[in-house]
Amino acid sequence: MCESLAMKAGDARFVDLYQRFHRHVYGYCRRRTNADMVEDAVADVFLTVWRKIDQAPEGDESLPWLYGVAFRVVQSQWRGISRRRRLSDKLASIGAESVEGPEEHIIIGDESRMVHQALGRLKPTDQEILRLTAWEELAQSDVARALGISVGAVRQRLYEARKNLTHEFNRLEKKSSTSPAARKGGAWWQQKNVL
Amino acid sequence: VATEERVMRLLVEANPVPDLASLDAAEVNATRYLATLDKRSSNMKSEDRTERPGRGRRRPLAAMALAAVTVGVLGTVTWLTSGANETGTAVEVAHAWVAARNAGDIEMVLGLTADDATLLGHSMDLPHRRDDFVELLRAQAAASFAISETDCVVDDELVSCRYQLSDVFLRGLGVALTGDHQYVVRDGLIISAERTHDPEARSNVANAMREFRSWVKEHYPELEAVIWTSRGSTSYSTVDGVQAMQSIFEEYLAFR
Repeated sequence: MCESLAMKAGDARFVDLYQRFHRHVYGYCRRRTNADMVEDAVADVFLTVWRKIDQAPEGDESLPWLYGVAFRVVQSQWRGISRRRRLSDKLASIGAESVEGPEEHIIIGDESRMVHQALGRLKPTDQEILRLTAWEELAQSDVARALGISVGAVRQRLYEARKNLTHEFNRLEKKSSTSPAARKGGAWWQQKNVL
Repeated sequence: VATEERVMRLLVEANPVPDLASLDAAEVNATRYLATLDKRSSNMKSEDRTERPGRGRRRPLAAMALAAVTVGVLGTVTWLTSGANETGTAVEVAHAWVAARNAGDIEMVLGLTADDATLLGHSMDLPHRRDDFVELLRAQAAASFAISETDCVVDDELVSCRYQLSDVFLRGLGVALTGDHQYVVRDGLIISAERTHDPEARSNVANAMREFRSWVKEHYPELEAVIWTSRGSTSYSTVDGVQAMQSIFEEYLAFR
């Protein structure tokens, strides 16, 4: 009886966070894990949030804080699955799901895969800074809150991460354009997909 | 050659979930979720009240496993309630690392340890290869390894604490290692952990283990190489070593 009245302040705060940001956390996890891991990741994030609800900041800082929790949960998940080799396999399988049209799929799908591969070659924190910036569209101050580092550090690392990502992308592109298939005419992904 | 702008645009386009509204996430019902969490929590409490097996049936290894699980649960609870890691300050990461080691939570320990971390223990064995470290963590979990730390001082990335370290064997021998532990924490990960044992404590432990080794050599020579896997090692470094020690340790204590 009167469950809602009896609800503790922490529970009310949790319910508020859950209702407002469940979709954001779900999207965050979906961007970084495979479909079959998402539900577990989201559940783990909110389990941690429930246990640490006293530390949850108010206002605009709530979402970056949730992303910080999710970052550690997802990182821990990946580490638990025999680490990087399987991670790169799974990352290769996500990325080009909602693209329409076969031609667009071939080009955007493979460029997209290549940018994922290039991203996977960066340091984990640099990857996360880039993802939070490009996918979650966080400001640098919010990225700093999410990762528990200073805004200056985010600025510096973002600058370097962008350069490194471009470098890795170009290396991959160069490698693909000098492959035997490409030398016969066209990039390797075009050959591969057309055939 | 792709420009930085183009690659960043490609990264944005490579977002696997560009539109949150398109997600087929399960319907949000926070109250039901909260009730599930409460239920799970009470289930955990009831599991904690499970009776231990009768004394006559208790085997040394089973008791050890139970102790390890208990330490694990307590350590995990301590970590979860201590606020460690989520905010990611250096001392919180260091505390979370220690709590995870006490809990035998190997994945958490590795999750908080940088891939190229440096682990050093002055005059005692600490592995330098990651595989060896994992094996040592498994062995320590089996031996109810526990570290307690006090008087932590933080200076930016550097965390210095006093520590006391023991396990089921050191407790049986009535000795413990004490000393200073220095961590360097960067980006939420331990990149360096260095122990400096107090000379007297180190000497006590080394003497106790030396006596034990002499006894093993005399009575169970076939087990010496199982327990001390390298020439200079002071104690076990593998689960096999722990089990071998456990199988003869009570006899040694009676002899002693």
